[in-house]
Amino acid sequence: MTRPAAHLSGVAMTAFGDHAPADALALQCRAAEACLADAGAERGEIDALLVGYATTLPHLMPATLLAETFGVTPGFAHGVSAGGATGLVMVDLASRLVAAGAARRVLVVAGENRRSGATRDDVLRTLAQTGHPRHEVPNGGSIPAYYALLAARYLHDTGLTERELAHLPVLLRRHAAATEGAQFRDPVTEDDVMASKPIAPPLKLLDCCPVSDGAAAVLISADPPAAGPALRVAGAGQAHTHQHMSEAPDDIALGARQSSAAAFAAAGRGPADMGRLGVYDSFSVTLAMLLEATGISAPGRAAHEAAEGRFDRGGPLPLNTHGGLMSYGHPGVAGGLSHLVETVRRMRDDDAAGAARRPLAFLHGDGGVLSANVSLVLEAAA
Amino acid sequence: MIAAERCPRCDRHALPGRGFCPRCGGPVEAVDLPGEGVVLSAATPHRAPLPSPIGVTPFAVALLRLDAAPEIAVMAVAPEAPRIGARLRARPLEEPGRAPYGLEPV
Repeated sequence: MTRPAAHLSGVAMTAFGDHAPADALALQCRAAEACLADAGAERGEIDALLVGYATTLPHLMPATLLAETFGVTPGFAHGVSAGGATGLVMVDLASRLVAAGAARRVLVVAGENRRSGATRDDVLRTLAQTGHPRHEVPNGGSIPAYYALLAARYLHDTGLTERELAHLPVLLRRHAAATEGAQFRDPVTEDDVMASKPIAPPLKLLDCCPVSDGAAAVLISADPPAAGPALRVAGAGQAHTHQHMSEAPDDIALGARQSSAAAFAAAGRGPADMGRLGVYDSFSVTLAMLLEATGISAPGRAAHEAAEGRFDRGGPLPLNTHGGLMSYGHPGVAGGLSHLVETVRRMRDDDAAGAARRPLAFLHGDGGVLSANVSLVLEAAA
Repeated sequence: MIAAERCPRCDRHALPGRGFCPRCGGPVEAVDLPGEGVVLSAATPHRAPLPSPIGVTPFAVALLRLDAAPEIAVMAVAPEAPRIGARLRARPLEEPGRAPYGLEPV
């Protein structure tokens, strides 16, 4: 028996930025409503609900809470926490529920007011708790510091300069300049990245994602959408190799290699088959390391390829065309979902325009410090 | 010295706190390892969520791979970022078996 397909039948995201006075639940409801409208679905059709954690709304039962507030009574509801990987982990879980016949329409929602509802120091402190409480956190580190450790090693190993790495944030800002709803839309140059204030050298401000308010939602269903291409999750893989840097494998990107290999194998596809990309980009170095670990770019080549146009909107393999976390914005779990929302929208455009681009996309999410990895391959039915 | 836990069956080490071997689940013994090792990476955060444990900001954070137990990377602080590949010694700055850890010349 063929495994039932899990279709991406609705997507939505708010603008990312400042949504005061909306709180996390209000933002989640906005995205959920827009997603149902996009899918042409009714509240009563939702039989499963997955909701990502929100740092501004710590709650024991985030999915039941949203179900009540939004107005659905699903037969299955889960809160999910896997750091920055949470969004795509929920899509993976939703597609497995549909494939197993356990649900027919799974609504996946994330959103929070991380920018307007918390101080910057609170956010930094909360995020730093991904470090080891006994052996790392008392050193005074932070998520930017942990990723700066990755960046220093990456630059050392590849011989790239900080200025070359800056090609990636410059590309993302160029994408955001053309995207309604992006938090930062003014173009920047490599000079601007180099001159931006030091956060955790070698990372400067423009190597880092901002803290944002925002929400996103996706509807995964057993039936194909009534209109548009029948996009489905063709393959998925996860790998959780470590939580803390002090216990990471020698090859800290091992999990990204494993999860991407599993997703490509499940889809019967490889990196060379892809037509679009949505890859987690919390920092410039995150994006470079993930593009290389997942086999999209050769070691040390990702930033050069950004400068050469490979990832442009009209290029051979468009990447994070909404501007990614660094320029569209990063409200936590919704940030990790934004790559999927954008990719689905662009694949619909390709289909409507009869574009020659391959109807296949690769998505990757990262939680912690390359700790939790999730990869998806999307494909439009022929 | 760096306090650690050693599994006699697997001959593997981890920083202390579990009380069992994460590979085989068996009992572990408390050991003190020499702090010498090689710097894997180093960075210089300008803003910290907690007060700098060495009283200055910016300060450097580094990862040191222990010679005596290469499965352990100690995260440690220093006034300035050491060079990747440098040989240094890690030691707890306040009490044994927990961060903050510092770095000193070998």
